Amino acid sequence: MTSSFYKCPHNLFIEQRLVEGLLVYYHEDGSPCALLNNLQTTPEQLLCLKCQTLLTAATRRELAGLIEANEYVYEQLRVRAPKAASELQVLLLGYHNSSLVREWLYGELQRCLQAGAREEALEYFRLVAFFLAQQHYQESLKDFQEKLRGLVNAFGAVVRAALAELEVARQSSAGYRLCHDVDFMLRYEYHPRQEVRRQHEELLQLFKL
Amino acid sequence: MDNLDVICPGTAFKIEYFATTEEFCASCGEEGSLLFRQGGSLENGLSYALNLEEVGALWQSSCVRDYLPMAAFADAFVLSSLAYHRFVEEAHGLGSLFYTHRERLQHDSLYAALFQMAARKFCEYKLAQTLPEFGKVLSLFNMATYVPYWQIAPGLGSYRSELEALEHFLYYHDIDISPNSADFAALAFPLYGAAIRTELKDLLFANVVVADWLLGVRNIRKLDLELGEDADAPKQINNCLGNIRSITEETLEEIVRKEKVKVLQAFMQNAATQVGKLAGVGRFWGKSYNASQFFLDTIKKYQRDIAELEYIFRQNFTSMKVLESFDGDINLAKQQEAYLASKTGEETRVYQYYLKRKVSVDIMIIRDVSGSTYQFEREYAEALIEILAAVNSFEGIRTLVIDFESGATLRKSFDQKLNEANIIPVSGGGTNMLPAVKLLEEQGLKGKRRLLFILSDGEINDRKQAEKELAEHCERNEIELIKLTFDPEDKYGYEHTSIMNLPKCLAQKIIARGDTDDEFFL
Repeated sequence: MTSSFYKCPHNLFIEQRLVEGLLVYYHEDGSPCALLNNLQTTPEQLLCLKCQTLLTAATRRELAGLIEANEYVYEQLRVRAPKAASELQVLLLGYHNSSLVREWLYGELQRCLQAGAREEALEYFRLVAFFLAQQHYQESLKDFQEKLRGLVNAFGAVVRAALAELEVARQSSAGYRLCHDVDFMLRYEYHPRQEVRRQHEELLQLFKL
Repeated sequence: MDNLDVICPGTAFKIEYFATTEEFCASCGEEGSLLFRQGGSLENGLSYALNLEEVGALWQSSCVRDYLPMAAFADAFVLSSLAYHRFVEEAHGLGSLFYTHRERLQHDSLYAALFQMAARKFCEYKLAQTLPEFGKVLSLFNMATYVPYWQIAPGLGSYRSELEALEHFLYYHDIDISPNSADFAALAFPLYGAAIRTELKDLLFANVVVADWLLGVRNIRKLDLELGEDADAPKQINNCLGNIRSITEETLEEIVRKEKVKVLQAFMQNAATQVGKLAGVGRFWGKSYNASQFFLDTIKKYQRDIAELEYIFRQNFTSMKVLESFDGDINLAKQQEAYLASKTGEETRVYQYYLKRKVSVDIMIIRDVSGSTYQFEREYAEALIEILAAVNSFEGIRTLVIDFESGATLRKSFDQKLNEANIIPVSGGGTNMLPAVKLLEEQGLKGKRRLLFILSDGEINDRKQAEKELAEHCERNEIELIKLTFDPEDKYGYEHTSIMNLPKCLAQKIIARGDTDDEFFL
């Protein structure tokens, strides 16, 4: 019962074996897959792990480049680079449907900003901006604003600076709306505690360097 | 027919069987399916109608014809629907997620098709955990049938390969897919695989992600408008049991490779024949029975049987022994009686006395309530209450009941009154007797005779160790051990009895062994 198409979140091909009536998942090297065999693992965790596996440094750079070239329009990207678009679609779905994926992504972004890895942070911001600048996901206003609020609360004014640098507002109407909403939130809804504000200002300084 | 109301204990339902299509149509009207119809509501009760002619034809052509009888196949329609109500429609605690899901289910054909497909498997999995025997029937039914969603909803034709791949993965563990569906399989299979064995919210999550992935993250309502889909399509998809088709043996061979057909057929055969031997399967499951109400109902229901048993016990345990005597051989009470009789002028014949037989018995019952006992859980609890009620009025008889599955529960202690005991129909979990033995060891014994009954329906996981410990305990405390089983093919030396005969069998054993011959008192 092997398959050359089915991959687990470890990005390894999977085969299934029926052992005493139980379905057991094995990697191509014969080792059992702890993730798929675990009865407690939820689909959200699997999706998050899949996103982590997909978004290596190389793919992040490649995807950020593709997004830049296709001006944040998913349809164009799908026509020009179907394989990359397929991977990006998984990340896009993960970002919008799973808070675990968002937390992981923001954690990575935070790490880059604190380490002063500006280019890397911009690549992450480009991906996040791409996810939020999709018209389909902006239609559900409450969900969209909740996700945006999470981003603004995590990075404060760094978000505005990054969006401005990436020229997101210029790319599409959804991008313009994203920047506009970020501005609005920072002006009227952003009231963090003193030390959080200070941290965000420090991050902004690091980002601008 | 099996007792289907254990699946949805809080929901009333009725099933109407129609022998011919004409009768079915005359009763249900011409609309919709000719096979199975569902009406009513969860609040006011559900009504099911089955066209046995159509169901019979479906069963005849299906690959489980040799494994699942026609009657069970017909009931599986209702079983599937009830399981869906229990595990999907009655699910609580999902909040807005559930409402979003309901709305999308009404408008989005692809989402509805994916959900119905996965939900059937999800219900099967959940049912196998809680009521294993029904789970097996549903598993066979699901393997023998499919719903051609791409025919019901015209817009789904382009997703046929993905829907089929998912169906084969879920129902036949088949992952031999076409290269075109590779990306879909890589995303959907792990998500659905995890979702069906966790919770409903996880299933909804997986469904949203996979449906959106297939749609290419577009707005489904716009897509439907563009495609000009049939507005009734999601409605028909949601009523999927009416549109069901059978999987023939030939189709099964097309779905999976030959060597896998053998594996699947072995699985079907196993599911069809291995009844009541599911030790270790599933989690504990208990219905919210009101113990005191159940007790009262049982007493009322079996009052004649209880009175009969009580009479037999009375005959044996309180029979009088005539003692030939004379004046100087009587006790103080009888002397007083004689004195009183002399004053009142009554005849003072006090030469014969009756001695009551003195009873001092501790009856301990350890019963197996594992998942496999669900088929007779009510009768099982009733039989126990019946026998306990029959011996309840005897001063010297003390009773104790311990239930065991994966763990052990003290249902009635020696000092507890019977009407306060918590004996209810319950089943679920594994079959580990050791915790019950440990619990038994903690109980203080007083009776001169001590009888311990072990009731089981077959396999006990830790039989060797538990029986060893039990034998030592019995030897130390002079307990007489009586092992009864409901499994006619028992291999472990247990005495066979049936549930119906259980009260009488227990009564016979108690009378035969609880007799303390020489103990009499006035």
